[in-house]
Amino acid sequence: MSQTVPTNTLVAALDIGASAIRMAIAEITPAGQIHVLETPAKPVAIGRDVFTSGRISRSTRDEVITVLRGFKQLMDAYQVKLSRVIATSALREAVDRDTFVDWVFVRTGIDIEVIEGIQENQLTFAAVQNVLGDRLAVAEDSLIIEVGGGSTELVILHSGQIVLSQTLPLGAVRLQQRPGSREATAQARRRLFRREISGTVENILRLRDLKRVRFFVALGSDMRFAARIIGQGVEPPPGQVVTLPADRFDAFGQEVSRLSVDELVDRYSMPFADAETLVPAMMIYSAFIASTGADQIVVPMVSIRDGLLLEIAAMVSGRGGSDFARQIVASARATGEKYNYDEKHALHVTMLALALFDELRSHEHQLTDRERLMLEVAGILHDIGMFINTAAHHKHSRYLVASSELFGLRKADKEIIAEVVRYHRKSIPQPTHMEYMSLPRADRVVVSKLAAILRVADALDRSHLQRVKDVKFQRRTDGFAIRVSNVEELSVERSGLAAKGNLFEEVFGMPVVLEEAPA
Amino acid sequence: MRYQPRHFINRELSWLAFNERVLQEAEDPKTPPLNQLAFLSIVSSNLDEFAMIRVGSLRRLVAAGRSGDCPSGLSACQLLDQVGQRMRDMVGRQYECFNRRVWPALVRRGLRRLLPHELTAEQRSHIQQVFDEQVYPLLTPLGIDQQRAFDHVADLTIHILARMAGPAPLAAADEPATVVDKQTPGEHVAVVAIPTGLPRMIVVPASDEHTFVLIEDVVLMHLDRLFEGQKLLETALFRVTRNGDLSVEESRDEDFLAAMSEVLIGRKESEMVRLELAEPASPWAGQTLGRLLEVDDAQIFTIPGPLDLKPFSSLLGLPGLSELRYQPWVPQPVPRLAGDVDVWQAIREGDILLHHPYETFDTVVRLLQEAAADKGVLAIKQVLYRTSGTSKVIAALEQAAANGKQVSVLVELKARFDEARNIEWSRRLERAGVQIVYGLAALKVHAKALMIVRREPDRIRRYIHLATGNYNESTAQLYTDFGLLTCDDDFGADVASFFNMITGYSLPSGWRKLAVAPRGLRNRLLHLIRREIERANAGRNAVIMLKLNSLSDREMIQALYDASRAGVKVRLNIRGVCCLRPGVKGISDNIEVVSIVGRFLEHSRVLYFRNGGQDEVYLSSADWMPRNLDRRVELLVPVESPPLKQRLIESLQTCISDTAKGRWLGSNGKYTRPAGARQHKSSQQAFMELAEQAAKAMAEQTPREFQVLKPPEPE
Repeated sequence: MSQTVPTNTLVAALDIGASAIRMAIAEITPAGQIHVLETPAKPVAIGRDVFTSGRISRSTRDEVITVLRGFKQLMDAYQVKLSRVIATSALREAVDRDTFVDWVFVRTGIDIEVIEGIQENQLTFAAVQNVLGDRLAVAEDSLIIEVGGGSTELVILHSGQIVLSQTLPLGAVRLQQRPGSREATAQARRRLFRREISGTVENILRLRDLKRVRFFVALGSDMRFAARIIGQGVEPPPGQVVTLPADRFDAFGQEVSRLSVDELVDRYSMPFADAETLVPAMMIYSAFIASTGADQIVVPMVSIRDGLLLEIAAMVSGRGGSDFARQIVASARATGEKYNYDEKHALHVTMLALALFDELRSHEHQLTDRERLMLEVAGILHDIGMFINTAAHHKHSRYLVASSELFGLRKADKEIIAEVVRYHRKSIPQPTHMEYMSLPRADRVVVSKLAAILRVADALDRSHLQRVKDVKFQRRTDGFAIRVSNVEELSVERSGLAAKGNLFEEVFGMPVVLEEAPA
Repeated sequence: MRYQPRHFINRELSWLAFNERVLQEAEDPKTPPLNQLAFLSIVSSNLDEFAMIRVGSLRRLVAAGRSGDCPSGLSACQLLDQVGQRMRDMVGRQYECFNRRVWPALVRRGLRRLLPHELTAEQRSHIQQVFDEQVYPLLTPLGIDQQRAFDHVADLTIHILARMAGPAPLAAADEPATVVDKQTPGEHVAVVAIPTGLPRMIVVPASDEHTFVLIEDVVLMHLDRLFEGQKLLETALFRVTRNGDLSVEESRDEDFLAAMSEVLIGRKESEMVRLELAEPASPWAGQTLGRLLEVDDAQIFTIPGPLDLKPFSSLLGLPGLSELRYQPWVPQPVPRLAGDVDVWQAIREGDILLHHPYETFDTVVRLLQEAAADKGVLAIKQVLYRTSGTSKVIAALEQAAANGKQVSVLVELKARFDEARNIEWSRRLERAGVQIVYGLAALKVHAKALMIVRREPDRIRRYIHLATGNYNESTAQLYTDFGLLTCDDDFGADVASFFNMITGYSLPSGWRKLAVAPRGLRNRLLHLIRREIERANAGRNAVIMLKLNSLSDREMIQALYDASRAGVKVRLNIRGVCCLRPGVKGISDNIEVVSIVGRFLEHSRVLYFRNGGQDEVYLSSADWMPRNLDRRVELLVPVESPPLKQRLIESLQTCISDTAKGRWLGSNGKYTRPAGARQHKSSQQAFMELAEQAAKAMAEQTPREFQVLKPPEPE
């Protein structure tokens, strides 16, 4: 028979969670379509170790090695070419995570990427959006929640735009490791859990009124299990979306909370490890549902691994990712609103900065879309420090950015943006600036280039009146000209440029001037 | 409603009733003589297993003072008596049939078993040569002393007991040893084991082609060679059966200690389950053996003929004599896979049902062979339960591993009686680079599954074979089984998860299509029965049809009684043990049970639920016995393709209306042939004809040669 060369790529996505290691083996078509082949999972109690002692025990470490070796066998059966292995909250919090990661690498050749909560959020969100699409863009708020072993991921959207994104230190395994939880009676334990959960829910309520939530999306293996049981025990195919009436879910939660772990194992023919996390997870879900106005729960049969697969697919096929950028921007704007930013000014500066970025891309800076996105966020947030004080507001902006939960951005990304924001006025980067110097060299270059652009863009709207429109650019032997049609009106902007163009000249090797465009 | 013990049939008695139906096939004058002999041999082999396992466990229960868990409520003690009587009667009938009908019929057609005194001088010298060259080196006579008698008399092996007189022999380590029987001064007693590695029938030159001497006679003729200087006073042939119920490892945790102590008590009290003594034997022989082996009279069976008829089935393979056998059956090609079609494409075009032995098992072998050689195949995973080292299946797997495929095989070493054989070929596979996983702790994997991962130009496909029978080419010629070939994605994902589960790589999660024992299968079955009950309660037509080998699980039987009372029509085709008592007023009026025993061993498990008109049909590896549903890994496989479903439904209907070979179970627990007009054609006959017709129709459709059409001549 004909044996044309297959062009699909075989990949694997693994995540090392608090209570289990899970994998998805999939093939990805050249068009970026994902076809999941296997989804094995094996319980390993990393969370139990880390949430009690802060470290991973020797026996758990050995178990991880055994499980990963087994998973490698399964990958070999499909001749998997590309794999990504992420680890979430449990490993993130382990004191000995670096030696652990190295231990695993040396023994299995598997390179674990310990991701941040916000990346976890982002991967999950990508998976959800992939199956729910427009259904998330309801006018009211929608909420996406995933209860894991070590953390609960929460994303709230308004009209399809992310307004809140949080990783909460609340997890089905973590709850059980609370001091006193093991020894308590079942009833006392539930009270303890409830208190802990309601405290966290109240914190969220301070940030956002959950009553506005109409569309409630829940993920996580415990929720998928609930969906399966409530839906007659048949496993919904992956990617399918199951809708559970909130009251049915509540009844299920009540029912399982009355059973011991052993009884759960018997009743539902479920693995012991899954039975252990079921009740605390159901309690967390229930608490959030009760605080919202949703009367049903939408359960997409997806997981963080689907998000990871989407990322891999985007990489393999070179497509996708644009909507994700849109969500990051929306999240940045929500943060701007929170600090009462001058929206018109912020967006205008951002627009000008991006225009400059695009103009300079081919010859001067050669940065990628990732840096462009960081510039966009920096443009939106550069003035939020004014919320604290106008004086030295660039420094206030810097720490607000660094300490905000910005959806889709890793800590390293946020550090770069924070520095760009910090240098949008006053001093330019100096070897004496500690935060700047603590960045890797490559990141320092990015900061300088983006700050140079942002300073020029900000100068162009120094009046906060958005008077600079329709800019054109021209490179000349004597410098870089920004041409506008109304230069006569723009004295404030011109002097601003004279003051803030210094970094631009230093970085790109040419002075920047503002001049009238020829008629 | 609570059902009473009397609503159930005892498992052991039902088991014996099954063996009786096998015996009836031997007694049936319409069965050709060599096949009659084969049925008698099956009766023996069944009785061996029964004595070893069932009687063994009853004895242990009695010794431990427990009554057992049979839903019929009979105590182990009562049963032991009843069972012993029934076995005795059965052996009587079996040898009556052998001595009066089957053997004389075979002798009339030229078969000869010669006794030592019937041999000519020439035959004698031939036999002596055979003895010197092949038998003698294998003989290890055992001296007898009471303490070690247990250890030396091998299970299920024919032995000679000899009494002799003479000077007391010296027992040297490497010499045949006898020990003086202290009871009778001046006499010695010895035991000699008949070698098991040699054929039972030793052919001797004679004018009749098929003339032979039994190996025990050959040894008896030369016994003086073993005991020189002794005078043989008398000899007797005997065979022991030991308690073979080693099911402790399968037991649940909470029963483990109890079971373990039962084993310990059992070892002392009832190690010997049965002693068979061939006639003629003197009272001395019976008494001596009884005393030395610690068996009581109730355990001694005198056999009026050759011990152990099992090996006699080998006569079925004698050349010629075709008029003494069933017309040979040649398994037919599977229409959609006949000739040199691309098997992968054929499966892609739609699921394929295989019905063995009506359709050939070569299909499965060929699939494996093609997979081994196919460039696109990446991996093969398979469960091997009972297979043989010479199997083409094993060879194909070895080849696949040699060709660089990832081959993983789960070998179930706990397959009863086959442990040694399994270890041997699994080592061979390991050397070839196959990954071998030796089963799960405490759980026997009984499911039959094969997955071939194949990379195709457009995508990865997983070709799946799920079946009711083992991957064993020889039993596939005799056992009726169904297999399903599919490359459906949901099955692919489920079977992949299934292999990950049984190889320990992953915990099971949800199943898309399959139900898997020990988790979930029982509940799924109960759900399916209850759903049928709901339909009946809603006034709808509700039907359940089940084809199983055994039905002894109390909970499942109760569910079927519930169904019957709700008005669900329940039609059961249960080959062997059936603890369900049909036709009891107000309990099981709507249940009919038919058992088929024919030339092929009924082995498939097929389940049908009417489901309000949306028929559901399943294949399964599981019988409805507690151990299968709770302590084994078993599969329930839905068959969804409409034509395949239809075919399975029709096959069930054919079975439950087989008035030629079917026997109906009455509320009194007895199986009877249906009164009135009997069909001429049995269900097995019908399936053979169907397979032949289908293959023929296929052959006629396919042009044998391609004819090239010539272009019309220009005018």
